[in-house]
Amino acid sequence: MSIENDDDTIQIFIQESLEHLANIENDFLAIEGAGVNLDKELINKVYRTAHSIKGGAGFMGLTNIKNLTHEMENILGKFRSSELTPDPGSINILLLASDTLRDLINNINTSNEVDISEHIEALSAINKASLLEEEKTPAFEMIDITFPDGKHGLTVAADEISSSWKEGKYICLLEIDLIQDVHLKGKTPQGFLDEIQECGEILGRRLDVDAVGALDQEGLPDQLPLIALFATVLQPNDINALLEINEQSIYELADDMSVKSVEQKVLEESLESATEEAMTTAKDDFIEETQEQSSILTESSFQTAGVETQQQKKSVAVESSLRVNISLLDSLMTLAGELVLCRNQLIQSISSNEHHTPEIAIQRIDLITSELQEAIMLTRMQSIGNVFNKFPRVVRNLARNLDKQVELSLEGKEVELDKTIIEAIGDPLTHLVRNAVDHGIEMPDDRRKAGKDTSGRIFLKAYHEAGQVNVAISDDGKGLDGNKLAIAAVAKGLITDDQAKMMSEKEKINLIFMPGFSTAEKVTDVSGRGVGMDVVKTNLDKLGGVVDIDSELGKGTTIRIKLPLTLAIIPCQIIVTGGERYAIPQVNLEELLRIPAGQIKDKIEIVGDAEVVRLRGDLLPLIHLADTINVERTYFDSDKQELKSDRRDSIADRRSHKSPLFDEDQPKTKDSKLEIQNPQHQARSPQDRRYHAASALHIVVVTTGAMKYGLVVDRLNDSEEIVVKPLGRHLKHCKGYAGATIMGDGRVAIILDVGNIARMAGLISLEGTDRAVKVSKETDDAAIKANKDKQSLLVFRSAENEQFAVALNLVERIEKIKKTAIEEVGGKRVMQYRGRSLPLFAIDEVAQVKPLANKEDLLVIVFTLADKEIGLLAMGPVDATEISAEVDGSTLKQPGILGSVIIGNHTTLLVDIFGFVQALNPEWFSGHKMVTTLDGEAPTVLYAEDSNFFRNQIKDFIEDVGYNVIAAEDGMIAWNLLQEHGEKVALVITDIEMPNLNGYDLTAKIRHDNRFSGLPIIAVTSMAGDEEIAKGKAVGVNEYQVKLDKEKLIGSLHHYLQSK
Amino acid sequence: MVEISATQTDNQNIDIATFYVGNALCGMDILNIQEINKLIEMTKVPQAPEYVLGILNLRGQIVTIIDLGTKLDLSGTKLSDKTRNIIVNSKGESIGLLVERIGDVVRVNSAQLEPPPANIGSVQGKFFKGVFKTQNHLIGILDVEEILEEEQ
Repeated sequence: MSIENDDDTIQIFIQESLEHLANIENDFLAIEGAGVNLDKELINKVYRTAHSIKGGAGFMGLTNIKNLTHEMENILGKFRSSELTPDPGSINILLLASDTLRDLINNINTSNEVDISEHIEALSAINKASLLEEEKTPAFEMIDITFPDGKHGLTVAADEISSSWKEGKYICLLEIDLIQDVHLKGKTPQGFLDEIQECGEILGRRLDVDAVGALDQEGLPDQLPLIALFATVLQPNDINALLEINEQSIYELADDMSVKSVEQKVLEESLESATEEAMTTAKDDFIEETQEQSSILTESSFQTAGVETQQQKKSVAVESSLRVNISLLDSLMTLAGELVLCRNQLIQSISSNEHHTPEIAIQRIDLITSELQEAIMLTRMQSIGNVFNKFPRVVRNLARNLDKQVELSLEGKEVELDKTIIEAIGDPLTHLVRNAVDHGIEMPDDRRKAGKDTSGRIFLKAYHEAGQVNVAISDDGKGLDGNKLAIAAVAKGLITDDQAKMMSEKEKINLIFMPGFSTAEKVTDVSGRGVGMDVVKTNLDKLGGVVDIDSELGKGTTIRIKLPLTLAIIPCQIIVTGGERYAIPQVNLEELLRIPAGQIKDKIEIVGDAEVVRLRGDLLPLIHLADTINVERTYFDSDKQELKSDRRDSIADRRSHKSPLFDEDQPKTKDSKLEIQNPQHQARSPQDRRYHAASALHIVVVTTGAMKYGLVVDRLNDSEEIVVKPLGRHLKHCKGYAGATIMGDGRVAIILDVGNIARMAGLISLEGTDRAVKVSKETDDAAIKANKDKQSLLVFRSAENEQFAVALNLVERIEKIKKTAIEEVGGKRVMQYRGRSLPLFAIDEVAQVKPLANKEDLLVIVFTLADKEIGLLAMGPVDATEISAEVDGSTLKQPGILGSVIIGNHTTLLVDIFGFVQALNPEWFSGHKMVTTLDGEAPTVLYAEDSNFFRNQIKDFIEDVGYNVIAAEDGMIAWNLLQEHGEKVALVITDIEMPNLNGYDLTAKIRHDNRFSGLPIIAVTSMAGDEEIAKGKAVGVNEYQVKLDKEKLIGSLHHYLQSK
Repeated sequence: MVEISATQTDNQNIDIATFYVGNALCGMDILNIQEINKLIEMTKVPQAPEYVLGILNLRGQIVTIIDLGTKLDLSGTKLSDKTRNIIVNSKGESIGLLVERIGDVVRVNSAQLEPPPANIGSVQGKFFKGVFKTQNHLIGILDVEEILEEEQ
């Protein structure tokens, strides 16, 4: 028979078969692993898989698929009956066969033309081998099968029946009337037999000549029964539908070789007790699947039976489809309904001119939209297990080929990702896993020598983190040798020797992702990993993924991949440059930086024509978005020319430190060019803009893999969830864009591809430019030389042309007041402030400086000292700045003034608030009690500080309150002094950043020495970040204090010395 | 896409939508046109080819706008209230062609299509399928697919 297969049927078959096959590999591997102690359930499961596919294929006339599954099924049957023990050899053949099977199913139209004889032979060879061993003496027993009414049916070989049963088939005795059932239905007997054989196997057949009647009878006989014993996967009661024969003439063969009419059996079955059902569940289980399928198939064959039969060569478009949970679909439907209701509400309310109802409707729509979006996303989610599941096989095969022993563990298979991402990460992940086996894991001998378990371990893990999916692939293999990679990269001319020398280990390892790195064959020998890693990275980049590699030589390698949950809707940071909005995907975003105009000078450094920003000790290369995508010109042409173009110039002429390194050999820096072009800008005094808010620099710090850079943009807007839309084909070559999106106002914004922008800007090195590396080194040297100590200061004025600064962390608040608010009471100036009187003073009251300017608008800087508030009268402009310049503690020192420092071309006096208060209100500080040692002497404090200014300042503070101070210029000297005066020292105060031995190391040294381990240690620092504090605490610092916060420092000193 | 060459043999009447590119009267089969829009605010695409004016949002679809004037090597289209975007569908993508203004729809017989004049520039030449003579004007019939072909 030829079934008119409609596309749907085939689609269902393909889908179901692929679903069945999805897990077959791992099951095979598990069977292999179990060996003799086989898990019956597992084998049954695989058996059922093969069986269902075979059943379906039989219907479709897909002989190749049918034959292949048949052979597989035979072997599995033998496993099940313990006639064969699964061994790697046979499992291998089964695996290969299942691959071919999958190919056949994927290319279902051509499946019958593929040559599968190799597999068939291999499979049947296993089968035969087992037969030879165990079934040497097949009892050639014949069995007579008779109809229930006692009529003789057939005589068949018993083993054929039993083997069919073993395969889980039903055996039916059919009584087909060649005249009624075949001839009169327009079929030929041969065609009919073929038709039967497509869905089963005829074990024996016989023409019942006796029933024809007397041969001499006139005319044609009205019946010509053909008796056939038919083994099939179909349920007996489906056969009649398929073969269009009378149900009464189908009998099922029972275990005791008796036959029962199917009609009868159906009735009986429905009466069967639950217990019996339970007994047969195991069997029904797999039959059910086929049945389900076959019922669809028979139905379709029914519908089209009357239509012209046609060879099923029809092309079937294999369309991708997705299974969606019904409940999910229901919730989608509900949401859609909600949306309609909301729309109605909106329309009504607008026509009725009510004001508040649209708001409610809009709120609802907002809610429904988010829910709808979530629900739709869910329909696209698939577990990453779909990808992971193929790895056991990959690892096993590869390990076998390479004679390695590898164990693979999978974790987080249930983590779900968007379908498109699941499909796209398959290849890169496979690549990484293969690499891990091939290049990561060593040969068993080598592993033993290295003291490791002979069997290597690969660990694949997927997990959610920060709204992204992370996949980590780790191995305990030989790891990567950064130096060898660097040498290879230099040899290829990808980096220079100098660059290589300056790279950190991690940077060197990350070289593996550099395009062009791994094209040479030799690399595998030196790298341990690294074939086509750049391709892996590019593929992951395309998905918006980020890949990172960590490796320790001899210990193993871990590759981490971060993937977005979905590609369709992504959170983005919106920025503005050249008057247009652009979106930067949040995955690429590290942080946003705003450098106030006044600090540009300190933060941005120029080397050659490269700009870098110093960010927490690292140098970050800067890229100007406008330059890179060439929107500069539109600036100049636009009406607002002055503002935008000015800004650009101001960055370039930015009164930055120039690198001495490049001054000589690169005279043509950007600065000099601009000077020639725009001399008028040079005339502008830098201060004019320093307080101009608009000239602050906005930097988006982005990463793509190991590359991290700062993108300078005009303005930062909000972060938004955007829908990614593709750009038209005419814009395909614009590499800097990843797509476009529609903003809330209906206009289009372009999504930036930060990886390509870096490439366009010529940023090729992995962690910043080579220049940045050099600058980093150079400026580090400079920093050490200058003994930089960064200090946050509040800059203000008391009179025109006289600039003051005070440590920012002492400042409580700044208030703007009118001069009239100041009251003079009892010879002291006060103002009403939060219900109390705030004492006020001006700098000129104590120090010899110009008197407070006589202005209407004044500022009061409020400090808290000794639990009391005090206000310092001052005037603007006020700015917070960070300086690292050396403080001059002698030249301009006077009462109330600690010293001077140069800030923005002005000599600035550092105000000593404590000095002031002590001079004005000495009684405030009288509360502190002196602490003495047991002998009645003043305790001794060891103080390590490299900055002369601070050392003298703090030494003075402490001595003022009556303690002895031993001062050391760095950690090493302090350590030596401590050894010398060990007995006397009651407390250590240390700076953190010091040459030779820094504060952390000094603390660690002290803590590790039994003599001093109980000594209280106070760390003083200019700016204490949480990280530093944690680090300090970890090594044993008792407390952190801020330099120049004299009061707290002294308080803490008292506290520790008292408790001692 | 209705190919004029296909209909030529049948001497069929076809409707040609005409429009001005610079001063030149051009036309294309009206069936090629998805819609004609007024100029709406576009987003400029830096680094795009010169003839791409920008992209815009057409009911949720991103449409690339091509300035026909620039593309045909005539002067760039001057933007005014008469400027229109002719949205055509090509290879599954909507693309806007910016024209100076829209003319009439003319019904012509496909047999009247004449090859483009020999002295037309080679760059422009390939963008024209032919020329129709009407009583007052010559209409250059544009080959839309050729125009939308990406440049290498």
